Amino acid sequence: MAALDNDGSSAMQREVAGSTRRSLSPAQISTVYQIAQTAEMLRSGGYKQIALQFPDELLVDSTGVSQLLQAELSADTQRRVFILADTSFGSCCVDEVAAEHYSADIVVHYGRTCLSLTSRVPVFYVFGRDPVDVDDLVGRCTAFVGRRVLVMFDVMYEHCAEEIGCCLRASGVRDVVVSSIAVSGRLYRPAAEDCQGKKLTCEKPSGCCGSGCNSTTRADNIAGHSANDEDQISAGRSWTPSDDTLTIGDYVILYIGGESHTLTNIMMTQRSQSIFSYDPSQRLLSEQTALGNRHLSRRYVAVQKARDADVIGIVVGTLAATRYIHVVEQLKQMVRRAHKKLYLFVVGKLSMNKLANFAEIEAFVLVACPENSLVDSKEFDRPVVTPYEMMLALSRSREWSGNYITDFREFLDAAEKFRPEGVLEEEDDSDVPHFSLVTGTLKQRRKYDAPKGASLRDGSGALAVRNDKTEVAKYLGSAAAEHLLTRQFQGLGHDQNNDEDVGVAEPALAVEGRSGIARGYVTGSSSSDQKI
Amino acid sequence: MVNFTVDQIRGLMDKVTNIRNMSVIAHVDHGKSTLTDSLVAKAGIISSARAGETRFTDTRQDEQDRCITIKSTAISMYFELDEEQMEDIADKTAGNGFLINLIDSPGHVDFSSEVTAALRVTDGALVVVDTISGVSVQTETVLRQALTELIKPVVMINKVDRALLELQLPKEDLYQTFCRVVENVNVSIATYQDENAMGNLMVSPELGTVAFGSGLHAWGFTLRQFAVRYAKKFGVDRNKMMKKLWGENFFNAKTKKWSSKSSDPMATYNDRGFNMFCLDPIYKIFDATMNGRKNDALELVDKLSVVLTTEERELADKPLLKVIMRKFLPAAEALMEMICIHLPSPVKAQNYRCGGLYEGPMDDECATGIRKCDPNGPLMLYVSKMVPTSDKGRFYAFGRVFSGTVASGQKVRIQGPNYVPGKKEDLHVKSIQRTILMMGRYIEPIENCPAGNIIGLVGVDQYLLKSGTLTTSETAHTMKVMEFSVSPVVQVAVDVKNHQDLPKLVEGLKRLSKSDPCVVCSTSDSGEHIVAGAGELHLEICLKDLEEDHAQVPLKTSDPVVGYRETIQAESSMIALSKSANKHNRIHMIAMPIDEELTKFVEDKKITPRTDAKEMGRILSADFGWDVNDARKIWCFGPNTDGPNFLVDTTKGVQYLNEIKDHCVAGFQWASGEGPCTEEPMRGCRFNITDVTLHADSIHRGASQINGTLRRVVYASAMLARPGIQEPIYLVEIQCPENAMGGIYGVLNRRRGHVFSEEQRPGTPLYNIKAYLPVSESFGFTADLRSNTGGQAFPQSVFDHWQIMSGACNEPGKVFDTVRALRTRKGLNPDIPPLDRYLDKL
Repeated sequence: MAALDNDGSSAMQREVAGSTRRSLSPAQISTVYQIAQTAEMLRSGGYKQIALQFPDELLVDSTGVSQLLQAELSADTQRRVFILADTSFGSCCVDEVAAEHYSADIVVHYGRTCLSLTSRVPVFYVFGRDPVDVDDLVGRCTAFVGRRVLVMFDVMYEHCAEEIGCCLRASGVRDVVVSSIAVSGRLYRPAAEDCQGKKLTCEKPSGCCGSGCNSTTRADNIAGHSANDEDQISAGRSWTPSDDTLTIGDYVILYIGGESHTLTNIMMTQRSQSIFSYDPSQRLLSEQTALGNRHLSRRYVAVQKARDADVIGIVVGTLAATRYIHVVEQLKQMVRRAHKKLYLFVVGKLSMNKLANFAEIEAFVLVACPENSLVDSKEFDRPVVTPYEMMLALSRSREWSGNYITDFREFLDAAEKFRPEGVLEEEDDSDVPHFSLVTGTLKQRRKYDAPKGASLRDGSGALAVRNDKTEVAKYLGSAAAEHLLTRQFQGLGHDQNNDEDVGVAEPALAVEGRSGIARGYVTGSSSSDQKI
Repeated sequence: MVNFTVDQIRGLMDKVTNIRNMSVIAHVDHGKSTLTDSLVAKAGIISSARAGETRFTDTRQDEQDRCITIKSTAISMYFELDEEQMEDIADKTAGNGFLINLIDSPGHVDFSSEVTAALRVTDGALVVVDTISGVSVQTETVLRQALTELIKPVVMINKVDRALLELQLPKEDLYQTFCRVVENVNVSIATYQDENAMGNLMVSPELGTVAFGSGLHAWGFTLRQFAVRYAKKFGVDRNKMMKKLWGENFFNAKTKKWSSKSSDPMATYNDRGFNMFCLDPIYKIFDATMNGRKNDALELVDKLSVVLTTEERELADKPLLKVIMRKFLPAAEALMEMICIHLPSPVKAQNYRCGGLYEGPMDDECATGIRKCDPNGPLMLYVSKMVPTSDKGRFYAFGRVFSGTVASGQKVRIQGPNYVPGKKEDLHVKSIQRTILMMGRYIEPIENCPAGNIIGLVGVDQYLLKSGTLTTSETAHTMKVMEFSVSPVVQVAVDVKNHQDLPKLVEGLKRLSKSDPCVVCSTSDSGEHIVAGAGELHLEICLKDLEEDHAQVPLKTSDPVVGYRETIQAESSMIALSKSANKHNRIHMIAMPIDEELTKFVEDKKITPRTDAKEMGRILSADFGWDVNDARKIWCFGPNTDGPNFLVDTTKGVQYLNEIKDHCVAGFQWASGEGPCTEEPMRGCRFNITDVTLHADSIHRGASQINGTLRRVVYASAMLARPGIQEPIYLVEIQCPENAMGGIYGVLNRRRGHVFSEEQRPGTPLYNIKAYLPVSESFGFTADLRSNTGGQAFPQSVFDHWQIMSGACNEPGKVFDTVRALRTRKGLNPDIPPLDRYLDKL
């Protein structure tokens, strides 16, 4: 309810969250942040301009890390290390744009990440190491005996994932599979030529997984695509079932980590038997089904609301994830095919207040990394949906069957399939009203066709009766003009038509206004502008 | 063996003066469908031997199984009157053939919306009343509905056979019973009739507007029939005879003289005309057949010149009785005659109904067309309901042509209920694929259909949800939207058992909301599919339909839940203040409750946002004590722009205020739709904006800043004003014998109900109990009542009003618990958000 809480407490809490973490000693830093390994990689890659990206909560350690790295790399004075912070979008994504401002050769990303792939700048992920009490965890997992368990984890706990796997196997669980993170401890380099980004080039430096068990060396796709080594499962993780006939439905997911976007994302996209989460900081094992269903239901409502919308805003919430441009393009096409009006926004960090300024837009699509795009729109009276949800909402015949896609590539694949269907149904009954499940009534679609040259000429060639309210814009089919007409206050010029506003002054010449910042303006040379 | 062909009917459709559109309405179990059967038998669709058993108009399997009508069903029938009967028809006619479009409607209160839909397309109503139970709750309700729709009633007093066979009532007692029924009906009519439009609508046997009989045995009579019989026999004027057959007219068989009072009540030779001439032959037939004196009976039959076949002569007891009575006094004959003579033709009815049907000006071409019932005028067709076809997911649009002629392939403007003339919203221009005649279980295609007829349409169902107007005139307004006497207050959440079935459920919900005039299907904020109905039975039927017909997938159903309303019970204890996110804008507000009466006014649409400002000011200041200036500065109603909450501007001289009005209105709609305590809609609250401070620069007082701030200040002011919860209350009416009363009181007490009226039905051992019962306590009430009274009490519950629950949301108590339970159900934090979340300090 951030939109309701504007007493500043939310901002206060954000700071508090970062400062509870005490800064670590240099020795701790070099182990937790894998300084030696990073330096080794940087040296071997020959990178000169090195950007270090920290999320807010790790900023306390940023100077320490940068100093240590600088020291490690001191042999070569040409190398320079920068700290990037306060990213424009979610801190889980690599801030490519900021990195490019400093013409960085590489970004080292610290802390929690959504593992979305970059498109331009190579990136090296350092997850950090948070402690896990493995004995406590295994002790609590007695319920899993005899079941198949897939272990997934938040990135900070990657270091001990295999150890947990071993211990679970030892404790009598029938089948334990530990998922792996493809980019873990490796350098990810976007393939410059391949704009589809199908190739994932990994260089594996020495000694990444310390544990002896390596039952998962092959990275298989979770959704059962043909075994393709480059395929990623959602949330940037991959796993291999111990037997090829098994699917995710045969497994119980054990997620290690607290409640986070990652967990939500996994719950939405993975249709496993059930999901348990173990929070190492609280030492709490809990089943997450109810929460997951509730999340799904909320998303479902958002889809239904988006279905009723005729004016759609595409909000770009990431500039880092690969293929976001393709996704935006795909969305544009879909929206146009559905004869809806489209606006494109970039708003930086998403806040409901920013979106609320655009009252005529009836639904927003957020194009962001998988973990940031699941916005709970409870605090906003307009639905904010993901591209996949928008695709469902735009389709007439398709209803959501509970499958869920947050990954861009899966979305693009699905969108390809969606297209022919869209063309087919376009002609015959596109003006049949649809049944809105939100209100329980029929909703007629307004049609906004993109102002192509031809249609514009057609419109302007036709004669239209023009009334004195200057509703000329109407027949151009502009959503904004329509919205303006429904407003009571239509700007100063229009007031003159209303009899009530006889007292309003004649339009005046523009005069010099105010300057300065919002909390206190310097009023221009004359103070007459107060009257306007 | 159909008595008429479609061509015959089509020919009749043009003779508008010979059409009668009528519905059969009554209390549940008073025998509408059974009676309709005897009419259908006459029309030859079912064999007359089975009349009274098949219930032709109960087309659905569950209707047959439960013996209760759920959907209204239409049939068209052809009937010919003879010369002598034609004389009594006051209006102009064309030939002696009549087309009767009959709609059989359900009697249970939960399905009242079906009755409303049926009444809209008909001009007359046959009100069926059970002799024994008399005028019941639902009889009055449907009668009231009929009269407000300007429908002319005639009465059929049904189940006379039970009075004779089971109660063995003497003649005079039976006469008194009939009198009481007629009196009670007339009391209702007198209360609700609109004499200016339609003249006197009182029913009376001597005018021939009341029939007596038994639907089950398919016999019935009006005084007219006996009058005709005796007029021939005695050679007196038929109309004079009719007057003698009712009321205080006694005939002395010895002196052969009529007198106005009984000289000797005990003397058999001196009896009331009705008893002597009408009831006597009937009593004799009953007496003879049921007491095994078959020969007497057959003798009587011959005397009455009733012809029986040899096989029929072999029958005995009840079957014989039925045959004799059916041949002696065929019900269809009596009813058809009554319908043709006394119910108005479309031409006559539309003349006075036009004002109540059409929203546009009374002098435009459409209104003229409707008033004249002109087949050459612009098409005006009202679709009152959708009837499922055998083709899954498609519906016939069922409606009445009020003006013009509708034809297959015709291009029409389909105007939904939200259509505003001159705008494009809720308007489609489409062709009608086919026009059809609907007859119970069968349909017959028909080429076109002129004004005054009831018709089914194929191919417009996609464009209308439940009802709407079809027209060919570009300037046409819509026909008035039907107002239902029941509201969907009981809800259940449905979900599929398998996730893959979700699309089917969604499609099913769409079909369900089309097929029922009253049900509302929506999605709650927490993602549940909500189906809301008028009562438990209604919901049960809807869910069954949904699962078996519309969605055809296994469903999970939650327990029924009730919608609540949030309100306030005092004026805000202080002026609430909220600041915008950027802290540059402040809104000050005070919340105060509105009179219940005014709230009702708004809910009944007596005041709407479109009411003229001066008129509104006058009403509010004169009737509700508002300040005239306040009344003129109501910014909006909410939620949904017409709800029973007001946002009022009481500021003085605030700059830029008009700029933020739109944002405030938007914020208010949102806030009033989801109250602060339970996120239920608010009701009966008024919010005064007392002061506003705005930033000087318009970008800093945009929608994003004001919208949320207004919502917060509404919440803050409401929480400062003793927020409370209103719950829906049913008005329950129960008819029962005295010995069942104890059980009823017990059940009601356990369920927080209270009895406020208890009357004995004159002349019967039955009592009428009226009570208020919270809807939330009504689940399983019917079953509970039955088991506690040995099945003798049958309740009729209808939503009556909202009632405040004593206590405030933010103080411990019952309301507090209710609020927490509601919040938990919705997946919210059970605690109400603290006040300082919304309230800011200066």
